[in-house]
This record gives sequence, structure tokens and C-alpha cells, in this order.
Amino acid sequence: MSFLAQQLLWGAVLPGTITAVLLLMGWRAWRRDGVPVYWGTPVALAIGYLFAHWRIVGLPLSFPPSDSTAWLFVVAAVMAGWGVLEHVTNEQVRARARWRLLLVGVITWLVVRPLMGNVWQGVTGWLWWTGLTLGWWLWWTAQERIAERLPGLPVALVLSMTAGGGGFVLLWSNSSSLSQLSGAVAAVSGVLVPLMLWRHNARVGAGAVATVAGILGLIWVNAIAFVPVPVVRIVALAAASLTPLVALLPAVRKRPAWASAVACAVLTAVVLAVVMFPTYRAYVASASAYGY
Amino acid sequence: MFARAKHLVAGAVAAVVLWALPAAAQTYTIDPVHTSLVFRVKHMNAAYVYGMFRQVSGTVVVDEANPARSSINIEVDANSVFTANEQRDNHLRSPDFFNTRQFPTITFRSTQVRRVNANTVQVTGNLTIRGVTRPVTANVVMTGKGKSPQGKDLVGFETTFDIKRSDFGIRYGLPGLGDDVRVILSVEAAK
Repeated sequence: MSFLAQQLLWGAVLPGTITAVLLLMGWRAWRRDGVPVYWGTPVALAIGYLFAHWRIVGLPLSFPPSDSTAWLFVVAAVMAGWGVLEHVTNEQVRARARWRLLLVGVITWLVVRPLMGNVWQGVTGWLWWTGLTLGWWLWWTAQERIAERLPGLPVALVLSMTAGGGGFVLLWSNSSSLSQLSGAVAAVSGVLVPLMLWRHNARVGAGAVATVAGILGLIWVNAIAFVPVPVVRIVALAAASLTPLVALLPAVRKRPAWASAVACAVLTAVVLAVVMFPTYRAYVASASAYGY
Repeated sequence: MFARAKHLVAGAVAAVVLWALPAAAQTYTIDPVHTSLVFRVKHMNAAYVYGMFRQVSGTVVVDEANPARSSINIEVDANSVFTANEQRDNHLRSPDFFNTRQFPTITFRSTQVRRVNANTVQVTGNLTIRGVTRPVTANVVMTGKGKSPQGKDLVGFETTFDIKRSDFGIRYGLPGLGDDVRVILSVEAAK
């Protein structure tokens, strides 16, 4: 088996399959009045990702992890539980957002702390921590609000596309492992798309969004802090994932679900192309004749 | 006359005693310009690709009479990695490999030195890469002694040893990019 095929198998095909099987088992096992209960979705997404992480970069060598990438494994496991909590608790939106801010702030601190005082001197470190925390939190909260209003196909499709496109942006920004991990998020969230086309009443709630936004957000924090990928590229990726807002427009809302999903997908693809094209050009310009 | 003879005898005794005592340990500073840290990794199970670190610093304590009192401390600037391909060098600095933003230095601290033969010692120590410390043992050969143009005493060593990068948490690209890394270190140090 070729190297690329092997990486695709371990990083996308098998994680996606694991998530799909767990989702189907969960939807079949837990029902309320004949309707599936979706609390298992965050767990299925996280387990698929954890498998990919194990195969791509290995298990953390210590706890707490000393390495920035290894934190992704720990946080993915935490996000499985957090996603379930977001799904089952009846906390008000504002209360959930406050708890989420605390969580994001603590995780960002744990991950970027080694750079403070070294790469980021003095107040710069605190500014980076604040900026990354607020950026991640705002994006996650926006995703949650979108999923609350549009719990169907567009959210799953756009999140998967964003993670996939982000994978290419990270690849062309000299970070293959973060790229593959982003691809793994695309694979595990992408399996929701055919499943939701098959089961029209399936939902992507705050729980599933929490898991995806938690993992993808930390991949982006890692990319900005440790690769480093220019912030503008990550902001553009985040913007690409907000296109389901288009589905809330009255003109689009009247259309069938698949039509609004297509509209969101096209718009997401356009925004992703805007960030991917210059990144690719910069990558090619810096490459030698033979690549490596 | 008698007093002069007494001084001569005292001087001779002092010279004999100094000769008989073991030579004190000498501390040398690694000369980064004449020190090479080279590594090789197999690419796609085909050819070996070589790279090096351009910034190596540290100290070597040499005690020829009692090698157990010798030691070596090396610090490598991980950002100085060079493989003659800028894009690859940037990739090596990323979290896929050395993660130099978080771990800017690679260190080796010897913990034990023992004589193997007249020119060779076995050095055991702790190698820290990407924040992970693992013990390594290598035979180090003294390649020579000399004088620099500035009149400094020079001493040279060379060693070759193998490590597994996965032991240090660098697993990206396995198994296409080899796990076994051969390290060749040639040190010139001056005092």
C-alpha cells in the first residue's frame, strides 16, 4: 500500500467508518418515543477523531502532555464529555457560553503556556492568549447558535468542508500532521452528511458542534501558535464555516433542505478557495524543483 | 651554598610530586565553527537523506587520568536544522518534527564516562529532544589534539550512534520516513 493510501486509510477512511458505525448503533439503541436521541453523536465523533490521532501522531507520551499537538488528544477526549453535557443540560444559552469561555481559556492557557515568556515576551503573551481564547470562543458560540437554528444538513456539511479545506491550508503552511488531523475532523463530521440525507430527522445539536468546534478550534490555535500559520488564513477558515447563516435568509429558507445545503456548500467553497489559492501559490513559490 | 642545595632538592621533590599526581580535569568549550552534528534518515525506504544542525554549543571536561571525571554537555539550536531545502527545513521546525517554537533546544548531558581503550571512552547520558528525555550510550573516539592559530589548546572527538525518533514523540510520516536516525557528531573544543 502506498504511503498516501496508508495515511488516508488511517486518518480518514477508518475514523469515518468508526464514527458512522457508532452513530448508527447509538441512534438505534437510544430512542425516546420512537425518535433517536442524539447524545451519543459527540462521543461517536470524538472516538473517530481519537482513533485518527492515535494513528497519525501517536498517543501522548505523558500526562499532562508536554507537547502542543498531544494536547489535541486529551482535549478531544474532554470534548466527548463536554459535548454530551452541552446536549443533555438545560442550561441557558448565556450560562453555557460562560462555562465554554472558561473551558476555552483554560485549554488555551495549558497549550500556549510554553511560548509565554519565550516566544511571546511580556504582555505580548497575554495578548495572544486573550486573542486566541476569545477568537475560539466566539467562533464556537457562533457555531452553536447556527446549529440551534439549523440543526440539519447545512451545519454538518459546512463544518466538514471547512475542516477539509483547512486541512489543505495547513498542509501548504508546513504542518502536515495538523493538516491530517483537520482532515480527520472532516472525515468524522463528513459521515453525518450522508446519514442526515438518509435520515431527514437527524439533528446536529450543540453537543456535536461542541466536539467538532472544540477539536477544530484547538487545531487552529496550535497552527497559529506553533507552526505558525498566519492568523488571517485561520480567520478566513472560520468565516467559511459561518455560511449556514445564508440558509436563514427568507428567500433560501423557503427552499428544500437539500437546496439550502447546496447554497451553503457553494458559498463555503468560494470562501475556502479565496484562502486556499494564495496559500497554495505561496507554497509552490517556496518549493524546490523536486519538492521533497 | 648549603641553602641553595636545599632549595634545589625542594624544587625537585615538588616536581616529582606534581608529576605523580593525576592531571586535573580540563574544561574545553565547544567551537561551533569546527563542530558538525549530522543526521541521516531513510526516505520512503529508498535512500538516506542527510541533514545537520548549524548551531552546536556546550562544554567538554576532559580528565585523561580519570575518565570517570570527564563529562560532556551539548546544546543544539533546533532552529538551525539544515537539509539544503528551505521548505523541508521549515517543515522540520514545525510541530510535525522538532516543534521548535515550543522546544527551541536539543540537549545532551552525560551521566557516566568510562574508558574503553587508549583513545575511546563510552559515554552514557540523557538526550532531550522535543521535551522528551531518553538515555543514550555511545562510544566516543578522541580524534586528536592540537593548537589553534590563536594558541588555544584544541581537542577533537567523534561519535556515531542510532536513535529512534518515535522514542522522542516524533512520529510524523512513519513508516515512510524512517524511524531510525543515525547521528554523527564531531566536536572540536578549545581552552
